[in-house]
Amino acid sequence: MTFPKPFIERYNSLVDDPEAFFRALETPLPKSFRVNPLKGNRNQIRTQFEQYGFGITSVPWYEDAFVSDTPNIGATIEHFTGQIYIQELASMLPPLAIRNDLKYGKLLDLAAAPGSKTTQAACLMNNRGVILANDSDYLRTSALRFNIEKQGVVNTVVTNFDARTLRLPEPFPVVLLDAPCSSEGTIRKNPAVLRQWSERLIQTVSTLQKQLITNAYNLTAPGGVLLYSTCTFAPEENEGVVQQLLDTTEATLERVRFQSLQTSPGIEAWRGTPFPGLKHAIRVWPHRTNTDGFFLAKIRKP
Amino acid sequence: MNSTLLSKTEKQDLLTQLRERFGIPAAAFHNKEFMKASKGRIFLVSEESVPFIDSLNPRAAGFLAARMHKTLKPSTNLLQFVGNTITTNKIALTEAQFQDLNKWAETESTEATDGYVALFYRDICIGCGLKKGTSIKTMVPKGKRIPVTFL
Ligand SMILES: C[S@@+](CC[C@H](N)C(=O)[O-])C[C@H]1O[C@@H](n2cnc3c(N)ncnc32)[C@H](O)[C@@H]1O
Repeated sequence: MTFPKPFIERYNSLVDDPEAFFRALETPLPKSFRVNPLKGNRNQIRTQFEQYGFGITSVPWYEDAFVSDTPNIGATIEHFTGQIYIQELASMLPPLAIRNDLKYGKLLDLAAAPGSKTTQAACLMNNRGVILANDSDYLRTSALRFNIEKQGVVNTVVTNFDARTLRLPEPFPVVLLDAPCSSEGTIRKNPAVLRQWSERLIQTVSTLQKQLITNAYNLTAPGGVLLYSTCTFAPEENEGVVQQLLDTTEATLERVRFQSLQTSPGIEAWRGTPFPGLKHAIRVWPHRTNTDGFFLAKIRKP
Repeated sequence: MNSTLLSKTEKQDLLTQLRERFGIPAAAFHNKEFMKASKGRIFLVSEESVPFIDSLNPRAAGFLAARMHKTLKPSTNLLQFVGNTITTNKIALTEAQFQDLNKWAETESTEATDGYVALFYRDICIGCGLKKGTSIKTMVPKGKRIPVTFL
């Protein structure tokens, strides 16, 4: 894999162990999936997969998540019928970070397509309540609908609005903004990301993310939570976006912990910009967790 | 998606047909509602979604559960969803029959009566089929018929 020079410079200065970081990015990603309890049974599926001869390992921080030693999980009858959903492990973290909040029964998922986190949240809500699953890209809402249908999700309403300007009759107690980003964290699965990568792309996406988070916060009810996440490393798209919200509103950050997952706190500064409020945010680094890279911040609106 | 809740009698009629044809009890739809949309489509949604569907005019809600024309055609998703409650007009497929349906959309069976049937492999409901004589056609949408080598 050839990394652009500015990419190497950027992450040599940001990452705690650059050598391990770059090595991890060149290592294939483990195959992971989650059981869909709306259609399948965890123990039965695990036993069946072992009978197929697959090596299946549990994940300590999520009872429905597993790692498989073979990509053949995609060619099983359990996948055909939507009893499992193939999903990268780090991408399962945002719904888990709001797991207890989902008991309010209402989730606004502002950038939902193709629906990995929407369908996971539906499982955590036991198909009750309502998820407003929105995405501005019409074609991607078709993939979202396909996944909702296949997973047997009934508590989802799909809309196709620009989340920067969306207005709703009432705010939601729980909002998820899994923002569009430069996707650096997914390089292991999709090296093509590097071809599109540039410092300029990061700036453009960061501007969009700041507009999105501002409206996401407007759509969050007082006392409610807004979970901001990306699958990228760039601080401009992560701490920079959340810090701007903290600077301009009364919002506060809440700490999130995942049992036995080696996460790092948000970084304190980048290229001269301090991020004083971001130590409760979470960074997931591929060389620490053997997953994609991810960023999560759980924001409380007073 | 322009949709309205099924009226009480429409819902009763739907539940009766699902019970008579497949043995599916009304309790399988506890806390859920059926909404009707254009072209006879019926969606299964959570109770709590209904006010949002009314106020937001969304692209979709829940999943397509059935189409109501002269007869009721249950969707593959619906039969998979309530598969463990289905007791009649079930067809237990062999591996070869499953693969025939998945590849060529057709196979043969003498089980069940003519009309829509629930196709099973082991105890897993794989979806809806249509039986006429001894011929079974799969109603599983093409996009869902992915190659299966482990079953
Ligand atoms: C990281 S992806 C979301 C992945 C999704 N949450 C999942 O788990 O499957 C970001 C999404 O944001 C959508 N998006 C981009 N700009 C948007 C906007 N202004 N309003 C709403 N959605 C937007 C994109 O179409 C894309 O589907």
